[in-house]
Amino acid sequence: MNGHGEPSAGLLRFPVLSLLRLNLAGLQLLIMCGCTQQPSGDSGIGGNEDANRDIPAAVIAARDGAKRGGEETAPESPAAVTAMPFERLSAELVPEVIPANGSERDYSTILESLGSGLAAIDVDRDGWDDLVIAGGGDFGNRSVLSRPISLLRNRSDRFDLIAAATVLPETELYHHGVSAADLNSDGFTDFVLCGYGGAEVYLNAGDGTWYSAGRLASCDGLWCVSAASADFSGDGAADIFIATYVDWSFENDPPCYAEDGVTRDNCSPRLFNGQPDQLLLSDGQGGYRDAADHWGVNSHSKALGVVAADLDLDGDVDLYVGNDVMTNHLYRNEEGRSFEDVTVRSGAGVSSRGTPDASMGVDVCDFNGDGRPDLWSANFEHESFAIYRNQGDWLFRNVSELTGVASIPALYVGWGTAFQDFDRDGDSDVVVANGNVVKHPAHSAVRQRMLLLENQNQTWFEETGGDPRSPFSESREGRGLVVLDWNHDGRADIGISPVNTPVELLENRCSGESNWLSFRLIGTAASRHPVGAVVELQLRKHSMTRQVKGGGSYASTSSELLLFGIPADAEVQRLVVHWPGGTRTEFPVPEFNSILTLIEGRATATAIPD
Amino acid sequence: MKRSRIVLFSVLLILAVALRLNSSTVLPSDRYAEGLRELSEGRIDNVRQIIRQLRLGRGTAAWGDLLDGQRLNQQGRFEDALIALSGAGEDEQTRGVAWQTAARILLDLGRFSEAIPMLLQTLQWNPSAEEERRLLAAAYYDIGAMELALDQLEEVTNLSRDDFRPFYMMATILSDYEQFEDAVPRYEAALNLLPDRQDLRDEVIAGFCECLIRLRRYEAALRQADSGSQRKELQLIRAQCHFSLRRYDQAATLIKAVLSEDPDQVTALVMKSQLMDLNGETAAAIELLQQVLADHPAELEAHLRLADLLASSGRSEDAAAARSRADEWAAVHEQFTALHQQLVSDTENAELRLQLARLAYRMQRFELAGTWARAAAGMAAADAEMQAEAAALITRGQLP
Repeated sequence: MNGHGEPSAGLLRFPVLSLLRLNLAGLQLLIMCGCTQQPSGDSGIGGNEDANRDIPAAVIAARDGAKRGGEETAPESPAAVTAMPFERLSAELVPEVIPANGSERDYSTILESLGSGLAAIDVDRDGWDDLVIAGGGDFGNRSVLSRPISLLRNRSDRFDLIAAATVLPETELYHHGVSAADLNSDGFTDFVLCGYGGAEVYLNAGDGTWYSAGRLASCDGLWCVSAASADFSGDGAADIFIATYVDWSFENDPPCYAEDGVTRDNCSPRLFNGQPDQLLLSDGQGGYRDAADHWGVNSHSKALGVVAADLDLDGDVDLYVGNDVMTNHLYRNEEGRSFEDVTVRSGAGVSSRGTPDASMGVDVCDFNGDGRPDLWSANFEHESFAIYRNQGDWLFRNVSELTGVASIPALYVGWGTAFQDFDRDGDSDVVVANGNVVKHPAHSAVRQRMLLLENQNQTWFEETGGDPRSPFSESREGRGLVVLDWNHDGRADIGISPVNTPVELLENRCSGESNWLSFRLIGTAASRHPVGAVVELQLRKHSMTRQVKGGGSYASTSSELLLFGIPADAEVQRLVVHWPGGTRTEFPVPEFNSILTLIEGRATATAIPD
Repeated sequence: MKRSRIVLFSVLLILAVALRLNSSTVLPSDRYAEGLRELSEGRIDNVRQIIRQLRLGRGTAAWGDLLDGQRLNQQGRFEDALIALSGAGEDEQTRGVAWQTAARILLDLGRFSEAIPMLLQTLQWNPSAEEERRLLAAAYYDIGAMELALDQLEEVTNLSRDDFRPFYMMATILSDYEQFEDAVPRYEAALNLLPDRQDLRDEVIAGFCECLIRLRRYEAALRQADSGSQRKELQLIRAQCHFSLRRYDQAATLIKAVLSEDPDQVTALVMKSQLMDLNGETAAAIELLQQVLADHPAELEAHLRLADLLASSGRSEDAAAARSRADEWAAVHEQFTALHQQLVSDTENAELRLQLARLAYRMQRFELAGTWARAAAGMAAADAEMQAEAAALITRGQLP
């Protein structure tokens, strides 16, 4: 989120990364032989015989162009890629819920920039993913206020809005992130609510309601944005990593301005100090121990996104943290004892130019089908979204340019993001929700299109979804994003929570002859929510893998179901799950087009009923 | 007796000159213009005569000083020129040109701290003085006060509507500060106003293309590049565009052409290594990058690409070491960027410019090191230590 709203209007607002070519002396530049320059020392000072000449069109165009700020630059013609058909579900099917950021109060604080996320959680274990939606926050009398969390209950053919007060205790946090996981291993999905001033744990009572288990003490006073839950220590209990942002407060709230130098706007994170990320290790009894220092993850960065996954497939869970205007962090889990910061070695912390990006949403996915989990971050405008190919041995390669990701027009500000095989052709595509961080951007739009990038032959990403009738063509202030199969048709749908406009569910209407399989994993020796577990479908010539992840996207949690699209001519020969800790279970090859529960150590899969 | 005769002759001569000046209708400004013409044609004796006449004339001495200042300037006697011009600056009629000329000399000498107030004062007297604004913008540019430079350039475009240079300079500044969208219309304006000179056109096109590439508008960049000549800078840009558009064969052909002209072109060599890697020649690509880094150890991108290739070829520890070196250079670049950012608001800090010069030197950007060293020296004329270090950086920078 670099490049906006610093106290001094003008150049200060912008990063200065390309100054190395600033090697022309100005005098030389201006004295360079030109047709209209006055001769040096000529007595004709001040005179301008052309003063009344008509202004050339080029000058007018230049000035008009300079004034046109705010228009979205038209991207160059996209390649011919068939659009994936998605339809936004109507308000009859998805009742209106509007996350808000309080921007109408005109405080213009950086707090408004972040928006909020959502989580796809099967609240009551009826098999259907519901939506828990962060409400965001508000302001009053120079204080920060909360807004209610919402629950949209999935009735298999529609969502019902459940009155928040009936299922959730009220929170006091102006909040952003909903990080879902079975924190107490009781089979029901809980969540951590991340907000300004702290993080609060909500435990699922099993009857469709939650109760607060209280704030995480070490997070008190910190600006918490996203979280990832996973069993980092390998003791079977779900631990929590909290991504924290900057030290803004009303007492540390410098005035920032838009391009015109007059209009107030949200500040850049560059004006603030980063806060220490937090790691809470569970004692298995509902208590948490602050382990950030001891485990080496207390970086004072400006974290917005985090994803937990087993990146080296060694049986423990690693971490990738997306930081705003700072180097992203990659942490290697050292057998459940601590993390090693492998950011520099890995190359996954910076852009292809070696400079830090402003990252928001992050994800992990084996995009090229080599079995190794790769990394992804959605970044600020002018920066490319970044895809890092896992080379093994904790070495990653930024392949944004080689995969076409760097060819996406430069004005998107990416937030919620997720890999998924949306067209069920066997490889993982990626979706990004975009929206600006300031109210008055100079060049890009406040509301931006989502991007759906189709994975082509596991080597190249091409934007699709550009059909003008597609919901991807509509602009929003995108923030939170989840993927779920809301209606169990085996097609991955997308839930989004833009700022100040209703939550939307975009239903995937892709057709075709392909098949699918969807799995829910339950650990027994491993944590019940087995982050790091890998499902491997062995086909005739190759394997397809999906991994259970913690966190990911931005301030959001996608469905726990792992959905595989399977090309029509493919034949699954084996189904194997590699569990955290190193065990593996082989399951009978299931019938296509079904949703199954796979339990560690049991050799049978259980169908989740429709 | 002899002496009194000489005195008498001198008095008569002065009277004659004075009478001639008074009786003729020639204005001192015309005599000055005539003197300038003589000066431009190298007839120095005539110039001296005109200077003498002007200095002796009633109320025309300032014109003589002005012309003398121009003469001395042309002869490279800058300090003497400044003294003469200071005399011309006393008279309202000649003050504008005198100060402008003096400012230009001071800028040539890199004495920004003296030139800038002089130009600002001149502009107070005459806000529509186009050349002074242009010089002031150039001075601000040279000391890295880019906000101030942009303000002046904006004014220059109002005063001089068909001059490509202020647009080009604004575009350059805006690109340097990554305000690419703002730079685009300035580049377009500059291109539309360019005189018919291919070298200028190529230079502006090259800057414009780099801007478009950063906006990832590769096709547009390619179109622009194709409107220029075949010089290597544009060939390299074409190669970058083709590479990004996955037209690797075309990129390879262009890279080959660039390297045949300039075998040491680092960007081309790095791109060549990427193309080799794509062709499966990873080992050779690694070797190439190692050679590049032997000659150019500060090239961050080469370090990064080398680390990528080492990782691809399973040389993990070598890759990690390359990443570590890249990280060190990235930190230097980051520091350089941060200092540049400070320049925008800290417009009078010579030490900051010297720090930039040191860093640029470390990064083997010798020309840039010289630029900042000159800026530092020009802003702290009284600081002998800084002058010495700046001079050393400029000199050492010229050696490689």
